[in-house]
Amino acid sequence: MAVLATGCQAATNELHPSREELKAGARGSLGQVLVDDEGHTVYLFEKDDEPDESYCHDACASVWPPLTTSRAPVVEAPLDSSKVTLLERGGGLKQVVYAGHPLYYYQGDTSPKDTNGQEKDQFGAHWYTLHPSGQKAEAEGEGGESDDS
Amino acid sequence: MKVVRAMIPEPETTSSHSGAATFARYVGALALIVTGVMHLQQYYGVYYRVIPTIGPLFLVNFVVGVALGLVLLAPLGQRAPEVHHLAAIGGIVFAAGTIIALAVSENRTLFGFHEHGYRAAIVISLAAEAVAIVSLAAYLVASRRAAPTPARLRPSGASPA
Repeated sequence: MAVLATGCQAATNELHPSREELKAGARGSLGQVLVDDEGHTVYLFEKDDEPDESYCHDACASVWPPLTTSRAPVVEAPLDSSKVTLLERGGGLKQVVYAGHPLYYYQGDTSPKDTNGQEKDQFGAHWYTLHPSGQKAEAEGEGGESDDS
Repeated sequence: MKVVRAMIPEPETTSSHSGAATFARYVGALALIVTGVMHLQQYYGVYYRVIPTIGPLFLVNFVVGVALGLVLLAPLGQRAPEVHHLAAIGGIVFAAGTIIALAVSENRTLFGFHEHGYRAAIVISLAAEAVAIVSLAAYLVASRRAAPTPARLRPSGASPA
């Protein structure tokens, strides 16, 4: 019962509740991609074609937890703080949006520097890591940052 | 005067209790199987297999739910009452544990995992778990009442010495 009683507060971030920081981290052939301050990779969902809307809810949000925060995150160079906005989700949570892309973690990433969600086709579209420019990251030889359609 | 004692069966409605117990056992068994199958669907259908700890636990839930359900459905001959009772108790604990785990993961995190919302699969699973608990508890009660009690020795009359 104690567990249930203390569980009434909404989690601000399912994996890293107190983290509100974005920076760039090297990920092999993907180059520099967005990560949180512990180095966990974050992803964009290609189905999210508008910056003010997320198409990842329910089971999708359980497998791809949105990067949520209570206030604007700290942004380290070379990321551009002007590209950061917040998206209201249910329950008073705000999801971090970078260059128009709502950001998510991937439950299949078990440690920092994992990029197991890269190019996964789940819940109706593909998932990609992002470059600091805001474009989706693809491994070298697969189009680089040129394709952000 | 000599008292003659005879074996007289209890005037209990054991057959109706037995029928109710069997029905409750079947319903509870099917509910456990539904619970397990729903977890398997989430494991494969919506990629829960990638979630550390939770993914394997969903697979375990499927195996345990179906195994308990099959045991409860199986005609086990002479050992049926004991085995079915144990399986029913196990099924109640299993279903209650599954509900508690969901409640924790919905409200905060369970093994670092936070469940989002109450989609149809979760509602169906919750309903099956609740049915399993109620049915199996009813089975335990009804089967106890239906169990043949040792016939009591009663004075049936007296005969002259």
